[in-house]
Amino acid sequence: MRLLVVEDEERLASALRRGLQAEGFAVDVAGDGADGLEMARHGDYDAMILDVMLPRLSGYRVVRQLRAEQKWLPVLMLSAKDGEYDQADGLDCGADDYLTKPFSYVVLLARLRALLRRGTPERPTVLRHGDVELDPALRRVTVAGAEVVLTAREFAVLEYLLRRPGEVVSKTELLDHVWDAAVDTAANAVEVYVGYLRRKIGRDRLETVRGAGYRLAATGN
Amino acid sequence: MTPPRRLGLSLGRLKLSRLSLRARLLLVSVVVLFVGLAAGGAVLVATMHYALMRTANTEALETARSVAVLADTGTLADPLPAAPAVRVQVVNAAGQVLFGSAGTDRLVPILYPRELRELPDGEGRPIPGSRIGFEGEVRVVALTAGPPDGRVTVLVARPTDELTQSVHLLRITLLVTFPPLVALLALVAWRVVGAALRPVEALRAGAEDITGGARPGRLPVPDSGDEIHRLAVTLNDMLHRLEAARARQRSFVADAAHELRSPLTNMRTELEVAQRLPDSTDWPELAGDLLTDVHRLSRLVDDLLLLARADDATTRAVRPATEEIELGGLLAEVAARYEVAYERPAVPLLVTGERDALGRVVANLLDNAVRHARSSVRLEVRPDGTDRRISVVDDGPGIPAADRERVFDRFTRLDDARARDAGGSGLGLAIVRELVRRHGGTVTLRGAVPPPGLHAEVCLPGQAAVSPPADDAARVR
Repeated sequence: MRLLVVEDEERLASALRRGLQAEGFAVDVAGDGADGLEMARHGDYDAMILDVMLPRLSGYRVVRQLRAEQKWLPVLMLSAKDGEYDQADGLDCGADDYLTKPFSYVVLLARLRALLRRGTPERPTVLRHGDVELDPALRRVTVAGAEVVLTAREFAVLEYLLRRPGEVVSKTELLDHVWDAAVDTAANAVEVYVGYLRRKIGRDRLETVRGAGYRLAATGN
Repeated sequence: MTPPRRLGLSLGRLKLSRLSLRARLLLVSVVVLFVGLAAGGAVLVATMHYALMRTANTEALETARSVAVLADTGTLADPLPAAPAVRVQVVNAAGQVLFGSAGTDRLVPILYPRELRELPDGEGRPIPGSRIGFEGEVRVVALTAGPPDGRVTVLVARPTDELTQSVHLLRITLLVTFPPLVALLALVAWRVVGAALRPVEALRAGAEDITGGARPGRLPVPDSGDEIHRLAVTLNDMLHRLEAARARQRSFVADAAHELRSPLTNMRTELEVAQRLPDSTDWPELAGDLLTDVHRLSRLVDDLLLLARADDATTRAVRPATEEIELGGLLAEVAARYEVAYERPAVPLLVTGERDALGRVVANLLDNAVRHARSSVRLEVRPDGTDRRISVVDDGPGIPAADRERVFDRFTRLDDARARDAGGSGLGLAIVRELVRRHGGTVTLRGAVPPPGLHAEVCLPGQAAVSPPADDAARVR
């Protein structure tokens, strides 16, 4: 497994390199944000340990840029900032985990292993299909660049469909994932909300597959 | 004043001050209104009464004069000519009625003999009307007339009942309209005072919102341009400054936390890694690294404590121990520690202050200069009138003019690279400014001549006593 450590504190970086190498990782170190971004773009890393306060380019910007470029390597953020919004911002930017300094080295290793177990599937912070975009952190939906206001339920239906792009999603599945078990909802509630959603995002963007369910149509772009 | 009365008065005051401002204003205005209206009414009634009585007197006197003319010319005839409502008698010195107008008693004079004697000539007096068959009061005037051998007195009685009636009517009217008028005015005053005080209540509610919630609020500013508007603007200004101070404090604490955590992180990670890999660890090197961090941490803690104490001193105005210091010698000591060029001036340059603090000021400036200098750092002190000017000049990259104020803020580092091997705690210049300010001096940064480089200059007043900062406003920039 190959790791990239982006850290401007030289001694912390070299301690990490030594420790991680002893665990059997191949470790590269970058001393600032811009170098780190460049190495992450071109090197084939399995995970990245990224400090937030970096010279030239902050950790937030590095991870946002990577995600924008469809680079999905797992990112573990390190920061001396322990404010709840600092952590939330880091994760919403696209980081997969966040550790505040000073951290326990044992926990760092465990979290790194957990990240590596998950592999590198696409984990976009903004869900996109055709010209429909949904940002779960901002709870914002745009269709062809124009913002659309959705209710919480409509938002949940669209989010679930966007997480299964191109697939047919059955009514039962939507019912199971969007509505909670306590609510005794009839299947036609799904039809009603899909109807609302169609009216808001455009009829042809959400097609009915007779007898099977619904599918986001590949329109726009 | 006797004690019980004083007690009563203070109790009264206490009660009044417990009332709301609106009620108090209303009470005062109603009392003033009441007294004013009552006095006005009383004056009106009295004037009216006086004027009417005068008229009655004049009328009676006119009649008396015309009869007197008759008496003087000896052409009196019975009955005497007079208006029907008036009774006229001509009485001789013995008190006998000689002539009378129609309907007048022919035997008894209108006035009793004593009254007649006492009433001066040409004057009038009131008598009860019942004596001569009138209702109410009657005004009687007496006028002496006739030839000197046969002096007679002309008595004219004029009833004043209708006059007193109209005065009475006026009084009744006033008394009846008075209470509703006061009530109406009180109502208007209540409303007006309420409207005037509404912005005050709005201010109070706004302040409660701000204190209650953590909402960084502004008080509602009324549209008017009055005192309350100005109060709201002033209070908002104060809130703004407090908020800014709090934000600065918060960011200072966050920065301090960050600065403390970074070396701790290094130490912890290095130690944990070393513990896991004891055999391949270069322990002496690790000890050196850890010592570097410990040094960095203790320096940071010292700086933080120094600044905290300085803040404390400015609020409590604690006078630090001062002594007379010879700057030339002090600078020589510091310069030797940093191995920079320094020429001790020939004459002793004295200032009053804290030796350690001034040493720290110079050390911090030299520390910065040495870190950024390319080849040389120059330290110098010279007198300027009564002032003492300490200059530290380096030939490093300098600081852009726009940033020269900012670097005095706590934890400002201009090199975003934040290379800690080169950088200090970020508190050095903040401490310099604080300490120099405590000595009543100033510190300025400018470009070195010739460029490149930075010229830091501290100007200390000679022999100045150490005093807490003169103006607090300068602190809250």
